[in-house]
Amino acid sequence: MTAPFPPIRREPRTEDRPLKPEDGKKAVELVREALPFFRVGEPITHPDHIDVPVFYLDFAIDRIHYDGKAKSPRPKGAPPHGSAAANPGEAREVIERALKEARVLDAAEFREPEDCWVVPVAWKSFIILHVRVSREGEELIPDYGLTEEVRRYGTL
Amino acid sequence: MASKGLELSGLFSKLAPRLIRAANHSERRLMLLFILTISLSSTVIMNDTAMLVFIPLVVATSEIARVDTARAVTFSAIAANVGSALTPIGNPQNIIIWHSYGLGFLEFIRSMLPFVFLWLLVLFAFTLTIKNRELSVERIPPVALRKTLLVVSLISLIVDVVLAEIGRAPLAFIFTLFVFLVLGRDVLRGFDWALVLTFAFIFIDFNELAFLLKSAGLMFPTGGTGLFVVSATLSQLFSNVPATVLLSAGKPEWLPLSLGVNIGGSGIVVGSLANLIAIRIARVGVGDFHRHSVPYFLVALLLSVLLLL
Repeated sequence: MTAPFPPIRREPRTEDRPLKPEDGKKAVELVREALPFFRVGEPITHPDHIDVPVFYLDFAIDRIHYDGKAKSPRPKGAPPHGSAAANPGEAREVIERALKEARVLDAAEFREPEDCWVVPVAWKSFIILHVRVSREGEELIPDYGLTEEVRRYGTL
Repeated sequence: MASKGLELSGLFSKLAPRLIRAANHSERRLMLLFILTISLSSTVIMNDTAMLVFIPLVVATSEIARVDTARAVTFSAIAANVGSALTPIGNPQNIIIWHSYGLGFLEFIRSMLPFVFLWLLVLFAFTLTIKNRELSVERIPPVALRKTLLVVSLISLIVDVVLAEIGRAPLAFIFTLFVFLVLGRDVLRGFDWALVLTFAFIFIDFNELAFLLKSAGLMFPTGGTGLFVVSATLSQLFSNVPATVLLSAGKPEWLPLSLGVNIGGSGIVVGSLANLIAIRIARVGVGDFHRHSVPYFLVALLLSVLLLL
């Protein structure tokens, strides 16, 4: 079955600076340097699951899904459902431990609409975190929406 | 709102990596740089905003470099309180005093400057007690700057101060609201409206209390060192903003009042909201905070009394 309308697409960007493989490598190295400074914030309790925001300095970088039943992080893109009874304090402790064991994967994805690199951070066998880095691979790009969400409903 | 815009632009987070580099592996120098940066930043952004911005950096650096986190956080909170004392827009108690006494922006700064300088010197002296260990941190990656938001916030801040100076504060509010509505809506969403309401209630409640105390014949000193010591002590008991509202109702001399409630923000943790924010973010114990803050408060209070005499 085909969709009734074609998907909305932006006009292709005119690249003022071509993407280079070295930029992706720089982005990965930058996240490696930043990883020891990542800290977990106050868990966000949803009706059916808990997310734990990860902060770099005073800005949120991304959120990690927490599996209350397995008492471990969940893969990116697969938030658990039905773990509303999980304890936010316990979620924080588990994610703090997981973040210490996390490692930066050796390649990045480029997202044209956001004009940035996305560097995956893995725990054991799966990705738990996406970190956005500027096109030149020199600056971390915070998740401003998440930062505000945490500040409004919790503390850093 | 303009301060919030500056914070969300990432300006201060952008400064952080430069500080680490400038510290050149020295723990003591890093602490001095933190104090200087936090106190300077607090003169334009509120002291509690400065804590939201800098405490995560102080904690992260302290943990990585194995520095005493409680001491670093406490000195940072004191730096925010001291720096914010300099300008009329540095903290809520200064805004109250600035408006209710109709003082000039520069007049306020000129009068506060010698004392803020003294308090900073005392804080620097306290940092000299830190053993100068070599730090292992070399580099902290930078965060992207939101240039449009930075420019808009800086312009708003300047326009606000100018409009307030010429007695058009309501116009400053409308201007800032409109500017951020058009160019930085997330600043309005992130702005702590509940805090404004809290201060409004504090103002109403403590104004009433001042009226009741006056009716009961209880009078506070109206100037000099007496007023300074009383305002610092009351700030220690129930925080410096309520103390300002309570004491300013009787229209005493503004300078001893301002000095008392500003130095009263250090010491006991309830002295100012910035302290509470700092220990909450950093998860530092109250006892650990007091171990460093109370001696500082007592020394700074004593030296200020000597300067006032």
